[in-house]
Amino acid sequence: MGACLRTFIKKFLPIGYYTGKVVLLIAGTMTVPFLTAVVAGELGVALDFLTAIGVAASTGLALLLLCGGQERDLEWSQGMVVVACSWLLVMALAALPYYLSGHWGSYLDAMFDVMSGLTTTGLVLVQDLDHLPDGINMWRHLLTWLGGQGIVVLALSLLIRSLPGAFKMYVGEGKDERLLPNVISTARAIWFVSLTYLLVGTAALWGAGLAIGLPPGRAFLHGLWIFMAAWSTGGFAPQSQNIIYYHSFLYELVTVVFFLIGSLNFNLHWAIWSGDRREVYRNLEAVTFAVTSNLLAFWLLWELARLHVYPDVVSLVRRGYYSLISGHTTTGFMSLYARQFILEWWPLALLAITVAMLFGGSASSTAGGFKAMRVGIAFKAVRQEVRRLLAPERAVVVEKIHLGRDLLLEDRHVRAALTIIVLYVLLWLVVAGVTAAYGYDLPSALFEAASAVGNVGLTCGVTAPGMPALVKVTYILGMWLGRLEFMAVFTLFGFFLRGWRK
Amino acid sequence: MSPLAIRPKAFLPLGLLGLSLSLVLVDPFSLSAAEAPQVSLNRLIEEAASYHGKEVTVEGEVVGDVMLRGSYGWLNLSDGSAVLGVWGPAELLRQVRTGGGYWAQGDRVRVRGIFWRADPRQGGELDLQATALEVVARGRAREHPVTAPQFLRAAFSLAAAAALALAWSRRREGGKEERQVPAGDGEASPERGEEGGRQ
Repeated sequence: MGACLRTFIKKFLPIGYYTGKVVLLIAGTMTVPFLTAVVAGELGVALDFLTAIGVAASTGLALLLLCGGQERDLEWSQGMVVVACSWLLVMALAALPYYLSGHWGSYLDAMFDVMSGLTTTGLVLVQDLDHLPDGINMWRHLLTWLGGQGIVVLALSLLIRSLPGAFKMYVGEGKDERLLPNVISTARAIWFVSLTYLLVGTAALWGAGLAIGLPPGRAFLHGLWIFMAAWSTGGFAPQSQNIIYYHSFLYELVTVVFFLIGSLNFNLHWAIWSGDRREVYRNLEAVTFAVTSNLLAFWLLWELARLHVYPDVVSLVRRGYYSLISGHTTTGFMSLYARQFILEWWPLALLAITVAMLFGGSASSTAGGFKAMRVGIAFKAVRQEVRRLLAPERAVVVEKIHLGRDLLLEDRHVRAALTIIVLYVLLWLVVAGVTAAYGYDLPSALFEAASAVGNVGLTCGVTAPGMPALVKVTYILGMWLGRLEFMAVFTLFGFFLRGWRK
Repeated sequence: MSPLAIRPKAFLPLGLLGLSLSLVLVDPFSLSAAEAPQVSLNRLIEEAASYHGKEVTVEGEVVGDVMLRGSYGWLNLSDGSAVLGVWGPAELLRQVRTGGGYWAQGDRVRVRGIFWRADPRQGGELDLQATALEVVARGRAREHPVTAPQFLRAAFSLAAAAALALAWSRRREGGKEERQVPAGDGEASPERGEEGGRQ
């Protein structure tokens, strides 16, 4: 028993050590909203951030001291557990400034919004959002931006100098880009590209904000925040009306550009960045996304036209297409009021959006959902089976996929893709079931659950401060599992269960 | 007396009429903002189809910025039940001085206008096209006093972090010194070798 416990503790020490480093990084990032609050003259908010910085730094340092030692290699399971633990601990610590601000009804609500931000979902339980201080708004949008790129990816870039096991943490966070030979160089490349887009995107939205009548200072802050939410496919906004607040086609157009780019696979980004533009037309994910989004758009617009929801084609396309792409890329920017989905779009148009949210964007991007790669592989697998049935018995039927390079579709690809798709569907049904069990109508429950597990953020009104605590907890778990694509979370449970049994 | 002779009393009704007309011309939007039935914003959204194209009156706080675009513009109105976009002439919206935010409670206004479930002029947006606006109450500053517990919490947590940082820094310095001794490398290598073996 003693030996088993010692082995368990020995295995846990590096997990605690790297989790401590990720927590320290989060403490460091809190200086950004702290400075924002100072510049905005929000002294009380600045003090709350100092408290949160102190608590987070203390937690991180305590973990380093308790689990101390040096950077060392990790097993696959340890890498996964570091990611799952880090996300939970960061959720708890990052919620402190929210809670202290008084805009969240409970600590659970504050943690819900942090998980929603980190997973780039965009569902919110914040109260009186229209009177929120700039410091808190900065923290909300920074969290969604950091979560989109991956908080472990950021830690790898800044705090972990060299580590053979870094790739295991990297994969645990739902990333598998190998842009450069070294995973830490890759993590830095991701941040370099993201920062470049941050400058360009903020400038573009600042200009758009000025053009629609926002004062220069507000136009800049709104531009920065909306860019962070768009690029990370997060869907947060500084006002309760979300994108409707701006009442502007120009603003909507600019956001579409950036959340579409944000939903692309980073490998594809890198290929285009490196001059290989042909990859866009050949890449399985890009092609799958183009096909599914066009088919779903046709379905949605047809249904909205049949229901006479909008008076003309311009309105139909602007409201319908924006919501569809916002859902499909798992961004969750709302150009409709939440209840309009149920009151005006039910049933088939709402179903189209629900399917789009479940499909999601690209793998190795900030988007959630099944991911276009897996949908593409599932389609190719079905096609291969049909071709095999039609071909002569002796014929060898092969199916190719292109993901940066040509690959033969193998059973392991199909198994991996279908496993995740099945898990997503099960998770969706469980979350929807819990929602419906509390008395919400089934269409709303299915829609909201798809939004949570797909890390989307579109809402039909279910997500509200008054929703039952168990539904909030279920949504937190759904967002967490969806963002980390199950494996890291399953490994975490397995790790502790095994340790407990021993 | 000539029929054209001027009689002061005869000017009274004319003067009142003129005064009324001038008021209407000077501030044509602020006179009758409350004539249409007053509805909550949430009800407008929930029963949008039944209110579509009808004249309604809504009342609430202006939140965020008034966005003027040429001779028209937008403001966003919150009545506690929902927030709705109000589109109207710039001269109407200019009456608003304060938009609500962290530092201010926005002007409270009463707006009369035509409600649109899907406004074709605004790309299908659900909105209110204002025809009259009246400022019911001017906005005011919101106080956010800093309390002693806030200072104490911040000081205590930062002190704890500083103490732990000092302890961590000492341990790292100690670790560095140990690693400089050749025997230290020997101690570390079996563990690394073991973990490397698992790879």
